[in-house]
Amino acid sequence: MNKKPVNLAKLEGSIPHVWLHLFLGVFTIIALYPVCWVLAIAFSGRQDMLFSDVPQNPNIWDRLRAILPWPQNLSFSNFVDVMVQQPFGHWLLNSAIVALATTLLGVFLACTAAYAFSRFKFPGQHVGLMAFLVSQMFPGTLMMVPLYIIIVQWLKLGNSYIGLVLVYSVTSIPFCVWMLKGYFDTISVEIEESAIMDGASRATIFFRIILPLARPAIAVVALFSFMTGWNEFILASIFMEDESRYTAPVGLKFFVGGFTQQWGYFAAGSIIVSVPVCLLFMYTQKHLVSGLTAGGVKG
Amino acid sequence: MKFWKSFSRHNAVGLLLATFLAGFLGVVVVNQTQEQLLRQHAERGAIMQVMALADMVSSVVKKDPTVEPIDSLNTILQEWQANHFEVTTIRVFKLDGSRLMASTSSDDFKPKSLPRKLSPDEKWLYDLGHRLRSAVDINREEGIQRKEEMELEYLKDGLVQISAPYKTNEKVVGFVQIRAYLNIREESIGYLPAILLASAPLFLFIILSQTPFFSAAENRRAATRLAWKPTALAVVLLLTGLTILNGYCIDKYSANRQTWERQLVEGHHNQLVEVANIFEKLGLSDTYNANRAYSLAYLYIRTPALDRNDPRYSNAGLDSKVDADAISTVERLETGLVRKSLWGVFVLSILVLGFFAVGWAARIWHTFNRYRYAYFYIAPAMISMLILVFFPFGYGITLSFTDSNIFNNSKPMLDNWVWFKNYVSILGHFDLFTKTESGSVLNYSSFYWTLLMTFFWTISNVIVGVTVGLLLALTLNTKDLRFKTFYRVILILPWAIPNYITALIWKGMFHQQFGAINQVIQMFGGSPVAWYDSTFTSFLTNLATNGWLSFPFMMVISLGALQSIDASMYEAARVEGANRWQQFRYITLPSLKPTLVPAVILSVVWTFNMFNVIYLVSGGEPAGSTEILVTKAYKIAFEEYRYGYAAAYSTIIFGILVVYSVFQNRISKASSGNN
Repeated sequence: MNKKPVNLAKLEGSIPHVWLHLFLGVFTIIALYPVCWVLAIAFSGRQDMLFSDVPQNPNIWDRLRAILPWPQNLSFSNFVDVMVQQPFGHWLLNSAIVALATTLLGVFLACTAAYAFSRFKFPGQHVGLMAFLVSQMFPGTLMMVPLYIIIVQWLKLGNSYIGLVLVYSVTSIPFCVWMLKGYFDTISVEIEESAIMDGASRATIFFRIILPLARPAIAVVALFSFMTGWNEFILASIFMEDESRYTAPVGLKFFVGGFTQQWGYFAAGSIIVSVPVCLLFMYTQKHLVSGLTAGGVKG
Repeated sequence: MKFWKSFSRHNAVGLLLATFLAGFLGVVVVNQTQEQLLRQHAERGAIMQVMALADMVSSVVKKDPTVEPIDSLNTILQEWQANHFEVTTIRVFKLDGSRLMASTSSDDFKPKSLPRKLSPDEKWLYDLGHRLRSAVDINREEGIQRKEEMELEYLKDGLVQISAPYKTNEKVVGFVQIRAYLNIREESIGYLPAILLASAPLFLFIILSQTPFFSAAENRRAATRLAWKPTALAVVLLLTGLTILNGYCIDKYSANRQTWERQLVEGHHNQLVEVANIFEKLGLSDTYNANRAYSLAYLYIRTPALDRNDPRYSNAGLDSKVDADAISTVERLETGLVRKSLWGVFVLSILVLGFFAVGWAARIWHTFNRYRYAYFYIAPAMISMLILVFFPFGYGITLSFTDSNIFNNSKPMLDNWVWFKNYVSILGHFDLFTKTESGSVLNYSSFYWTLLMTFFWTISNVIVGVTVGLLLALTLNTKDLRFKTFYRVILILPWAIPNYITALIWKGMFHQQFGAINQVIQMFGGSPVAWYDSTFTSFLTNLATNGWLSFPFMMVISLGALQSIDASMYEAARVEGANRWQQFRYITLPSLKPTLVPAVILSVVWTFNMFNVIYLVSGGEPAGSTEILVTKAYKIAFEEYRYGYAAAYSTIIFGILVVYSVFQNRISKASSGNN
């Protein structure tokens, strides 16, 4: 047996870190550039996409300056204007209302259902779970027209918050139920059994014992529902016809769709919309990914 | 005797529900049909008036085409309005010169007194007139009633507005428009008689089931064996009762219909007398033709492309007699639907009875009762899913068997039923190439092209995502690499940004003139690329955007998996003399597989359905060549408004996904079996 101390790094014949940093650096630039691009336009106070005026016969430095994400003049005017002059502030409010309501409703629906699936054994349990899973595969376009007919024509909920919130909550149910059920399964049954013997009713157990214990999972589910409501674009554009009822995504498309291209407002609006989402996402992605990889690694 | 109780009870409850259901639904069906019919009749009444007016105006104008017969027109209008209180406004327009010649509404006298030219904000009237004229011309050319030669529109406050053209020498020279209140009568079959009729079987059953014939049994086994007796009794009573009930409903309906049709014809007759009077007043009696058929007009507006031999035609043109045979023919045709619905109700009731009789209802009730807590907790989510997910899914699939579009959407679905025509049309279009003068050109609207594009899209995205993600993860996994956390946070950023914002940003960057990408190309001496002009470059824009979006996901997954690989395995391999490639192949890859495979599967489904990127970045340019299946389905539904076709398209997409998941399920079972 070889008793020489082994320098793993040398043995691995590893690539000098210089190259690795170069590789990572290139991708960092690729990952960062669009973000900086948007930030720079937002702070440029203008509506166009280039950061400096390109002269008639531009040389390489002119062009570089034009695409370098640093605005010629730093200005907050886009941010101010988009909230005040444009109805974006109102749209943001719509998005917030819809997203919060979706969170509340989605969490309520998912918690109750997940609890039942986890704790009770009843006929139709397996079928129910499978049905939730299969429903994830239903193509959105197949459901859009019927949903439009149901919500706008039959229930007359077109252009209202309630209609959109209902649809969003239902969209997020399957994933949330699966996540919560998995978490509830890990809560030991003894706690409940002792509570039952102490005379607590099912409802008390549910609200006072299980829910507080499941807080981390509920937090993830709440965040997922919130992001569903906040980021969703297609359904919002179908159900909300009044411009005053647009949610933020529809509003942002409105800025750069069609013939008017107001990149400044779009950029400012995107920043305002994305910052909370990005932060929330960075926080939760650990949990989402661990949920996905946990099963994989064990298997 | 007591052994019978449960069987009798099941049957009795079932019978009760069945008969009440039948009675209630039967009455509802008939009332709804009657309501529709009454509305139709009211419309016909109004249309008859417009036709009469158009006729009179035409006669008056024909007399002397060079002069505008304002006085005669005003006479007609005043007389008519005086006799018909439900008409609020009558107006006469002339197409030549866009003139409003006469009106009974004082609003029309501003800004100038009549006759006057139409003002610019009355352009819709001008358009209406021309639409009517072109409709008449088209019908005459083609020889069939394809277009509606009249326009009926419902306004606010229950007013209906009808516009009909008047002709001189078979040419449309103007139109008449009235606004009137439709007085739709309220006539409905009462629920009481139907419910009484429906309860008779129940009473009979309760009485008869007490008799010894139906209730004698020594013990439980005999009772079970003889249980068919009360069930048979219930079924027989139900059948009899429902037959009587159906007969009653249909008879009521027929009688009503006959009466109303007769009333309509009488009204028509009265109208002819009125017209004759007015003509006399105007001194035009010699031009009066007594054989007018104003109720024909109803058919023109409601059923274009009518066959001249359709019996409904014979119903029209009834000047002064009621043609009972014609009415019966029409009535038989139109009650067909009522009969069908009623027999449907019949079948439903029998099923309800059967359900209870066999004891299923009782069993379900017991199960429900036993597990009621579970069902209560599940109820909110399940009900919401049923209403907003499963029902729309079923509805969507049903839609795919119709050719529903924005024009015929308000008609009941059964009218638009085309079975598999949509599917055949989508899947049968093998013509990927269409021949034009410049040779064969790819047919971008073909389903198979879009399918091909979707495959390319999915495969290339997964390859790019997995490759880049894995490479980055491997790089980041190096020991003692500095700034690791910094890199990791930055490289996750693309995943954190909402994907529609990403799509719009990249769309901006690919802008031909001002976009950053083209500026970079020009920086290095190239010429700017028109990204959305060719299929390949357009595809590249989509690929770049989605690749940017999705590599962080793969990177994070791979990183997580890599970090759980035991380093000692590598050490052992090193000692054995394996080089880096062999280590990668025999240690890294197999350990990554359990994590990567689900990630790839998820990624395939997400990418297959990635709507936002394609829709927002390339928008399917050029000419729909970079569309994927989901964006094409969206465009068919919401830009072409062909709902049935889009539903069929989406169902096919669903089918593909199902096949894929079954296939992938088998493969992963097989491979995990190997492991």
